[in-house]
Amino acid sequence: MEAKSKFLRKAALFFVFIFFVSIVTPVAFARGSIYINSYGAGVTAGNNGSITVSFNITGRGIMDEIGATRILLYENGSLIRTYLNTNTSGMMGYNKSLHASSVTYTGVAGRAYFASVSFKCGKDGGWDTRSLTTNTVTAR
Amino acid sequence: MRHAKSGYKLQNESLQRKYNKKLSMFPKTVFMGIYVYKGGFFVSEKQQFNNVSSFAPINELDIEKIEQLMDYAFYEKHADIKELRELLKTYKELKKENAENSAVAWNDFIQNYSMYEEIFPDIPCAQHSSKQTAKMKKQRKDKGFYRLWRYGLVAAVFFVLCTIFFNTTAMGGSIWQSIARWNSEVFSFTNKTAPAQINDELILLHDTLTTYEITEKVAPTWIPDGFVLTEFSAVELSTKTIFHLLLNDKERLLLIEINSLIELSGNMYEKSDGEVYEFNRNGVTHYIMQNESWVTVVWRNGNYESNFSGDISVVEAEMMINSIYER
Repeated sequence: MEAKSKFLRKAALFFVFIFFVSIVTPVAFARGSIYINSYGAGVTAGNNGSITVSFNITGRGIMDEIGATRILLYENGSLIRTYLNTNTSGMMGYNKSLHASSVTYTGVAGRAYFASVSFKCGKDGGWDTRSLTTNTVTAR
Repeated sequence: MRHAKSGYKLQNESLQRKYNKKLSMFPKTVFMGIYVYKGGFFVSEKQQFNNVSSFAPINELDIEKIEQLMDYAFYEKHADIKELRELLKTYKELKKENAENSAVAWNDFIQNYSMYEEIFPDIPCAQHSSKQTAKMKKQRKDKGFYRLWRYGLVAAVFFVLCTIFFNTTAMGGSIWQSIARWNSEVFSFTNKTAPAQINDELILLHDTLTTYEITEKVAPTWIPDGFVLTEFSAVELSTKTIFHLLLNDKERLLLIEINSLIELSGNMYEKSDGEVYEFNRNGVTHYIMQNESWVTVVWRNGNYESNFSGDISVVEAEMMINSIYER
């Protein structure tokens, strides 16, 4: 009985320690990026319900791979489409310092759309990732 | 305590010390007698006293010699009282004469060599109001005037420099740039009325901006020496048109981006944990920050959001910002 309570006490201390480390770590490493310089994304509404998600990412110099790995498109707050770089052309660029591209979706007039874009930028086996949520537009 | 020569025990301890001191001044002590080196041979103290008193008249002796004789006479039990009195009288006269000579020499020194009377405040003015003093007074007056004039000149130069510095800084320039401009190869004074030359590596960017009918001052015309154009692209998106430039100088990199915004959705810029420094030029606030080892400058002017980042110093970044508006 006593051995069990000792074990529980140690386990509790361990989890408390893990909790504090998980809080402190992101703060300690919030130090910019050695791969990414800037990135941006936005959504625009065109004619006939056309929705265009545009994104751009600039690396710190020529990167081995640079671009968006995933784009999640939301309609009225619900995920309706996922674009992956593995099945969508133009989302990733290679051996360049800027990659900018877009994907187009035909929406329904009157509905609101926004997207969440995941970026990746890497060189010599190292990389950095970032995510960004766009503005919201209404299809027309 | 017995004296080696005279055999008297001296009652007065201070006199005994004085006498011992006198003896120690003599170079040699032989057997029981004290001998004084004089004129290349040794004579005893008594012989010396007798010799001096016998062969030289007392009134021809100098004061030092008389003092010496008086010392000897004090311990000499056979000394003649009459001779001693004469010795004492001569001594007093010489002493008085010496005192007068000293006073004359002192006054002479004050009048001829002293620079300032303040050094000798106890001397009456009449004693040192000589030509020399008057001359020194005049020199001092002149010196004071020139010192004041010098201070005035320094103050005036400082004021002029401050005025130029603050004016040029406030008007968005650098004092050094307003005076001269140079690089590794040439030096010239800046002609403010002539438009600034666009760096060769930036000509493509400026040409492209002109093609897109962007005439606003959004791109720098100067970059630090050594950077060469590596990559250029102009990308049209539904939200913006990006003019992107990558330059490199061996290991150093420099990125320049001009974003012509259609929708006002800008970029996210990476930065390290640190302050963002504001740099105002031409009514536009430029934000200077650090991203790891890079310096990043971001600004927005109307529908244009621009930035440049690279292995450059803050001073170089400020010079690049200045170059945007110097044309």
